[in-house]
Amino acid sequence: MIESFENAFQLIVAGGCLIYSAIKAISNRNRVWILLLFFYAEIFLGNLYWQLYLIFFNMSPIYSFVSGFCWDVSFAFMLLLVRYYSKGSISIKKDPLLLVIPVFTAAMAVMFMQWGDIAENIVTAVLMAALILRCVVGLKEIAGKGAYAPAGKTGIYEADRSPAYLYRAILCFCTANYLSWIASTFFFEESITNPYYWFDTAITISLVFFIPALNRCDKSIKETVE
Amino acid sequence: MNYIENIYICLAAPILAACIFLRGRSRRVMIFMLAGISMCLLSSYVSTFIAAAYGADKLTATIEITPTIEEIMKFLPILFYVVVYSPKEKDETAQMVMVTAVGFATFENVCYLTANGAGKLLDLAIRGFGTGVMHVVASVLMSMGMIYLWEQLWIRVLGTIGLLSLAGAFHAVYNILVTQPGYVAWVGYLIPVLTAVLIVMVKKQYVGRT
Repeated sequence: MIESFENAFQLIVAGGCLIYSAIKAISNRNRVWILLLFFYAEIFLGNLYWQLYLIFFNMSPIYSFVSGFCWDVSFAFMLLLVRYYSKGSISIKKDPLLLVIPVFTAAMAVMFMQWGDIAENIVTAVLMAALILRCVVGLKEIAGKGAYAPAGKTGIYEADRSPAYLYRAILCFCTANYLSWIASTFFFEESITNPYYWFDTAITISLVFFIPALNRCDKSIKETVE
Repeated sequence: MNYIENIYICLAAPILAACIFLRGRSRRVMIFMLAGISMCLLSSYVSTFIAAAYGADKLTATIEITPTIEEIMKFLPILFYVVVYSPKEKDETAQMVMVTAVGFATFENVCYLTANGAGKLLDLAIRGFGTGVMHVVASVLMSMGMIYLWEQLWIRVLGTIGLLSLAGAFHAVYNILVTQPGYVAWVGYLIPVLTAVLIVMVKKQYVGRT
């Protein structure tokens, strides 16, 4: 019951975000909004499929091809979106600390493989590593530019800084995802005390923050152009 | 017993003959129609094989395995066309994607007719429109990414895989709904039609403002 309720909540939130991003994509005709629209569409359809399965068959899907594929691809769309703002190269040689990210996602994938599909876990780990790396590198780029920005050129400074909100929102989303996956491997009971439901709700809440973050990027770029 | 190979031969023969005599764009349309029909036949083999490999029953295969397989198979002819011939006309390529989907849906509907009879006109009309439009809408989603949205190759590949999964999920949701009895199935048949109307409205607005 609680799984169904929580899933329905995420479905409604993703649906609302999908409609908003569709309106923005049509009115702006901007590719970043189209990518965000696809991201929400993947989350929405993956959840809708899962929810319908729960309603009609009283259980989760036996093989999670459809929903799993959708959720993995949503990370890919988010990665494509981030690529529009963070174009710097990722160099492990220059910054060896970045290596922690792929090592972490690979270790998590190996752990999850004990219960789940091998190929799906590899794809998820690769996409998650790429997404987190891109966001961390983006934040580092901004930190660098912020420090060296000329005092008078606030417009350019703002335009460069604005994607930081998007990167932080994505990092929160990725963290909530990992926490929910870890929780789902150790806690199975269908009750409010199960941390999986808390972290899944955190994912739902983090979904909403992509819209103001992208609006902020849009707004600051327009201000810079003006 | 449903002899889909026999149905395939009956449907493919006139199209194949037309392909020999026609030239230019008309011939391309016929080839893609035939490709759609052929992919539908092949996808039934692939789905059956994967369902058997996983030990899935008919219902589970229909709602969990078939949608993704069908969308991937339907996409292969156009992928071949784009990779091998590198067509310059984007609109025409998008139209060929739709022709493939029409061929696919036609074969699927004919197989449904032979398996379930052609007695109930209203049910068949709803089913025919629902399935036909669903395949076309799913193809439109895929062609958008591959043909229009992205310039760089790796982004186009990743984006197209993404839209393939979107089309598969759309198809899977449709399949879940139409396998249910009563009004739920009707809702399932209506969803692709409403989505198609929405796409046409958005396209009109988009083209109108360009």
